[in-house]
Amino acid sequence: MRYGCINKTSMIKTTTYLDLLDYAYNDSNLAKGDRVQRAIDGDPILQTEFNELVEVINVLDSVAPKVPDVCIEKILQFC
Amino acid sequence: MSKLTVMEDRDLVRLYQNGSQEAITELVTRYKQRIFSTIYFLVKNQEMAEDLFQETFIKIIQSLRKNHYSEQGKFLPWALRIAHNLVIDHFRKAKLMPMNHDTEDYSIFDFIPANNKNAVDQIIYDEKIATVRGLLDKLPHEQREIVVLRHYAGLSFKEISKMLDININTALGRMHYAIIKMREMIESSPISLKD
Repeated sequence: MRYGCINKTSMIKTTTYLDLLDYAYNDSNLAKGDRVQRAIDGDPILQTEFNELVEVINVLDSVAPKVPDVCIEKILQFC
Repeated sequence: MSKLTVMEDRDLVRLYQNGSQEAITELVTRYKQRIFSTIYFLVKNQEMAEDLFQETFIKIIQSLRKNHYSEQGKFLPWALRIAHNLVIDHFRKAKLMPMNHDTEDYSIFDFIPANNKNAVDQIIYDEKIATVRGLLDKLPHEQREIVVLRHYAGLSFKEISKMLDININTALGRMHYAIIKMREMIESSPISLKD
């Protein structure tokens, strides 16, 4: 999936779904992140897609299973 | 800050192989949450997740002792591959894959509250956890696997595709469909999950 984005030099850059995911997970470098953010700012469809993605990520972030201490103790005893 | 906490994985591995107990403790501490979460959301059973988690680290330690760890690969994807293989073995032995029906295997007490809450907040939080669990449960196994490896394990799509031996676009497609489905479920959820 690709989304169009025209930057200041009029060269057409595309933002892929991978770009969007990487940006949402803070895995983009500064230059790429900046490019993706500008693409999001300039494309309402992309913006909606990004917002929905972040919403799901935030929901998943809200829970994390606890690692029982006893498991860690047993592992460290084995070392 | 301990010097070990800023060390790279390969240096910790080398230290452990040279006899440092502290080095393996640091590796366990560094990756316990990601590895446990991954196993937990794949097997959907607390007790089984605990067993497989311990088994994973025992295999990791045995491999390190035998110098079977390759420095060319990163530690976490390697460790998760061991965990994933154990999960597959578990389902193979049980001759079933995780089903998408409600189960009592999850416990609200298995989860860490984000912060201290009063009783009412705790009830709301518990409902939210159960609902989020339901979101993941309702995804097909292939999609849930990608979400768990990307979100809870923190692997890149390149690492996921290598680990599962699938095309990166296949992994991306599964993630995309999973996001769409979860988004629909969030919207239709009777309780607000967005706070």
